[in-house]
Amino acid sequence: MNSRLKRTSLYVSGSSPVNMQQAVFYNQDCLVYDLEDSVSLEEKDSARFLVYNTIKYQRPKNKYILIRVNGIYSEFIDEDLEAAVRCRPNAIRIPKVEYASEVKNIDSKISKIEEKAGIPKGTIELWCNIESYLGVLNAEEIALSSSRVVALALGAEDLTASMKSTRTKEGWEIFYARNAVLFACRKAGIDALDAVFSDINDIDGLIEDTKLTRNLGFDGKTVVHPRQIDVVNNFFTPTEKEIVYAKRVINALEEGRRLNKGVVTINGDMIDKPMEIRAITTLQQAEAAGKKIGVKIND
Amino acid sequence: MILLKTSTAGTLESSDIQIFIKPMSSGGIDIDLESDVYDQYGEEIIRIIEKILKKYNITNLKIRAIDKGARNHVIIARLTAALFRASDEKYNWEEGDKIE
Repeated sequence: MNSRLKRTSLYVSGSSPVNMQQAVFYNQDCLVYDLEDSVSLEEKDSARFLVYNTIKYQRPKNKYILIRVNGIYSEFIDEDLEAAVRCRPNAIRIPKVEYASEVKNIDSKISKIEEKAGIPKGTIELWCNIESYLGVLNAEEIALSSSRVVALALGAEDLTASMKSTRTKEGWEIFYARNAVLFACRKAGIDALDAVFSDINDIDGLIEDTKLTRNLGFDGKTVVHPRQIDVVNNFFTPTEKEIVYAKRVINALEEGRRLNKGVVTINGDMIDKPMEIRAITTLQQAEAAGKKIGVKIND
Repeated sequence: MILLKTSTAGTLESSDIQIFIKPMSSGGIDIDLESDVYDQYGEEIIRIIEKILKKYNITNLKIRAIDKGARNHVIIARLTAALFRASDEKYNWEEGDKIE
């Protein structure tokens, strides 16, 4: 499991110095400096310089830093990649990925820039935004396309537009897409990020949506406003009760191995492999969130 | 760097700096800085502007800058954007933003 938490991912416009400054003080795990949708065409060049200089000289500590570049086929992509690679964020987030070949192409460009800049090859990770039906259908090949790819992130607004469906709070129109992205990520061993919940005034709706997100198995969620961060973080941080139970499972299994027992139980229930995996995942997430777990966990 | 036209970069938003530049054929560098924190940071802002102009070998230019509390990296970014908007040259990422 990638030990870096990705519970919440917040975009900030690369054309607004004040917003970039404020974004540092929120509790999101991942901060995405945006060069795409939140920046007008006339300001792409200036935003690029702002993001480059901000990350290079005022990089926030304790956050996973990303840059969302412009579209793969846009006139801005090559300059965006030059700036993005050279300021060394943790990852570059690519919008609207539909094919593995697109990722390979970007990977190759990044490798060339890393070499020119004296950056060890493979340093810059990639997140692929899945925002169309083609992206969903090809999610598995995209997830497996490059060793740089560490996450797929679902983008529901563009996806539903491509499907001619209506975006709702209940989310049935993206249910298949959510699972397709999840299955692809699990096969590739990478993280899966769910789509935004757009209504920033509906906290109850956000809670229901995030509960589903977590139950499906996502590792985190993109948020659209700072007031959503703590709600979403809480869902992806194991509770004390969950941690205690997970430790009981691990300790019981270890004792079982020591005593050469074929079957191990807790409260009369047999502990099987899925329970062990869930317990390990819980403790890894808790540890990454800074909680003391008191046991050594092996993958 | 050869500047061909006037240009602007930046906004009047808090923490930003708006920069107008006008290439001149002579007369040296003329910096007109307006800042709420001129007394505390005016000299530093002018120093940064002068260093960037020196990096690009610009010796004749009128600059008007309206500072709204921009940090150094924002000043560098906005001025660089303004300069390249005023020329037809492409930014050299290999050289970077290193200023001596």
